[in-house]
Amino acid sequence: MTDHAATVEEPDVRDGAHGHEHHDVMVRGYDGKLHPAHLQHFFATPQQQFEASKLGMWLFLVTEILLFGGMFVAYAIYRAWYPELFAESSTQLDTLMGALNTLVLLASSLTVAWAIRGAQTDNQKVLFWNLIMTVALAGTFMVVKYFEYTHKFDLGIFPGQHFVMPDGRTIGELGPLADIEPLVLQEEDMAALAQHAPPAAEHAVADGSDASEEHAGEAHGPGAHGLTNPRSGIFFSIYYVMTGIHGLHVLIGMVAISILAWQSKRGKYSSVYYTPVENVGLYWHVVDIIWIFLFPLMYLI
Amino acid sequence: MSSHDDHNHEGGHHINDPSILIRTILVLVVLTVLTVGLALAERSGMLPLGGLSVPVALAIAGAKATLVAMFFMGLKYEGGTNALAFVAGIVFLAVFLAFTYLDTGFRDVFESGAAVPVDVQNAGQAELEARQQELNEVVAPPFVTSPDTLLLPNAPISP
Repeated sequence: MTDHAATVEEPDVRDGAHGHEHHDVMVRGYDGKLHPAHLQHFFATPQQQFEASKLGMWLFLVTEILLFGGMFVAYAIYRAWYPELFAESSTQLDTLMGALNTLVLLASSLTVAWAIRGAQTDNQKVLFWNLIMTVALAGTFMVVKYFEYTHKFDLGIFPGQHFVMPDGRTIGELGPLADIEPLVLQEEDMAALAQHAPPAAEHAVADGSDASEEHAGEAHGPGAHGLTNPRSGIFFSIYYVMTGIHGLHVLIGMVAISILAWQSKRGKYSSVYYTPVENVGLYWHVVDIIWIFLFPLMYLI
Repeated sequence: MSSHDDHNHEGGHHINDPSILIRTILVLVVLTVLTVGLALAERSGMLPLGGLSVPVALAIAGAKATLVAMFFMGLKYEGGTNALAFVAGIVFLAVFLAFTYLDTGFRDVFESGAAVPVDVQNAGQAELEARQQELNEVVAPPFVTSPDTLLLPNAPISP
């Protein structure tokens, strides 16, 4: 009795659109019958195995929704408490950069869906190059994010008590928030703060976003962001944690999709078996959906 | 959505249709441009949406997410199991948000003073304690039984 029966035909050769015949590597199972090699013995059919794997992925994605959900709830609660803080702080986010990143992620969702189509139609080239495109678009997203973050760091926009106020002190150095009166500084306070601000700060406000390598820190001057609300650190804590964990998901997705591309180059995926491509694709779409909500909440409203 | 003859390829896998993928991404891009346009118009004062701006932006985001889930993730083409899991997750998120808000949003209604943020509360408490401390430290002046002879040398000495 041989464990390995013959490969009936190369999967690439056959017609993808009407491939009802399974031309797969067959092995003889414990029941003495031939089964596709990738089919686990506890599943009746490859179809059932695929569906089960996909349902498992969806359940994982639900936990992802709940992970980000906790942070969205934090956002909602703090926004309800301090509406003026959110209106003021969100002006520091670059709408066009955020919009660009939204389009980049949407495009990467398309390329992932297209890669799956490539696998379904046994088109290895379409599969491979769409996966590569997806990684490239994800990389673009991270590069834009890098520029957004470093620009904020130059302005002293750090999360929580590390946020640098216009007078050069961090929120932590201001003392307990409640000791600062009035909580939202009035016109005259802002004028007073502007006088105390380092002179470099005024240049930075004037010449916009010219972060040069010579004296990037001085050119912008920490605190030259015009935000005077001592609760600004709260908004940026939420911003950095939410976009940071989302960015981490993008990085993880880049690694996963790179592995898929490498595996697809070795001919591992075809219309007979492409479960990993499908599942990583689902993950990638959820990363996109999270950003679809993060973008308006942070940048627009 | 006519070209779904190949629906049951490979025992039920739906094959992504290029024309539907393209149409989906086009609608997604249009919705993105729309929501950015609305936000910029509102910011410049051209289009005061007021209280509508948040619901409108969220509705557009919800529409975009639905499109991604239906056509890119293929929920439209499968049985309801995966969709049920996904929707259940969103429902539980809504429960999470609603019940948290029932606490944080109505603290001033049910418990006066408790809606004050913790740091303000602590500062108020500290101030109260400081005042109490001050009051405790005040020593009552002694009763005057006889005139001070240093200040009033000519005062008659009491018998």
